[in-house]
Amino acid sequence: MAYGIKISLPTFNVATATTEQLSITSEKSMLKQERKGTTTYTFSGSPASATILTVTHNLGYIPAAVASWYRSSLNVGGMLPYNDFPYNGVIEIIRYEMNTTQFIIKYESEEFTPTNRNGQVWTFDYTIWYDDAF
Amino acid sequence: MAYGARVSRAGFKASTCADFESAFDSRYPNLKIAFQGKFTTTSSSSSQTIVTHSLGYAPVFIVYVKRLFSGGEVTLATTGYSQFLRINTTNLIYDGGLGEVLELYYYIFHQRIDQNITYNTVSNTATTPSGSSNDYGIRVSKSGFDVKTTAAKNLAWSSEYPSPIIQKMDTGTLTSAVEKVVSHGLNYYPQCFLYVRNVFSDSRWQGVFDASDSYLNTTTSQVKFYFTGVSATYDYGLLVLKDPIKV
Repeated sequence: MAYGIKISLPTFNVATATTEQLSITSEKSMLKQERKGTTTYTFSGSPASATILTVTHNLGYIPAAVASWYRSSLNVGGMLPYNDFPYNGVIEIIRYEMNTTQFIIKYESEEFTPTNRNGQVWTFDYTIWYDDAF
Repeated sequence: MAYGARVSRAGFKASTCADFESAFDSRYPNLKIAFQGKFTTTSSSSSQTIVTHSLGYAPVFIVYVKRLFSGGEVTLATTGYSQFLRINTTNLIYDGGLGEVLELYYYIFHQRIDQNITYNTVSNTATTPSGSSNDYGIRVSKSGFDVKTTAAKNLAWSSEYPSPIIQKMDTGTLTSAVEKVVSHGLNYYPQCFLYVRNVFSDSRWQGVFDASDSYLNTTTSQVKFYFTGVSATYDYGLLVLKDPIKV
């Protein structure tokens, strides 16, 4: 490469450092954030399914993304998908998916009698990158 | 540190911003892409090499999957897929366990899974964006693209578009069905990814996500995770990013 920039991590010689020993280098790409957002969702009743969030990105291709959940009442968070197994063998899942125009967070339950989450407040954060997921 | 460089994300002051508000800083690394690409499996139940990376270590990776039989939406390949997608020091493998045609999109990063390292923390305290968001910055295009005009996806990186930053890698042994706790030192809820090795006795690493036999939760000080398998213990690798779930 004729031109470029590389910056090493502390204690490493930038001239000889491996890629892993660099803070950044123009020879390697990184995921680039298109947008980041958050939403607070309050469950109502005992839904078998629900669309928690729809974000229109209109990128024209399917972007890579990541999403997470947080519950202030429990002071805990995690990465999506979130799974719960209130009864043996049945599943609740909160997951996300992407297409060429939208990013969507969904709740789905396979229980015959879905868990009563009425009134539960969840916060969801998402990051959509400019980089492809397809 | 005698020398160094720090560039803030658009709108933030480089001199005062939190680490997660920086675009990059020479005191800690961004997550750099080593390989990315598409792969379509066959319906064969035989093992299929998604990509040969030859990095010489098992690297952090994520895979997206197109769910061909349910509308074609794309999602992160978590439980239900992730156990069939495993990596070692040479290859990312689909082991054929689903016996289906799957469309996959993978990212492999320049970060080894089995490493214990915690990078510098300069500031954990969020700041308020101030000033113009586009006066200054750095952008680097991928080879063959004009840095002045190309679309964002064709940039290698840019201070306009934040990229994930590594806080720490933690590796060790976890006991099956016993919660493991790792301090992350960030004072907020960070994004994190977990890998375990040798679940199928092939010394490969697989991603672990929230499921009936596993969880991965974070508090403002710790990451807590749990994995159940047939073995008594497993090697794990935990990637903690500076990027917050919630500040």
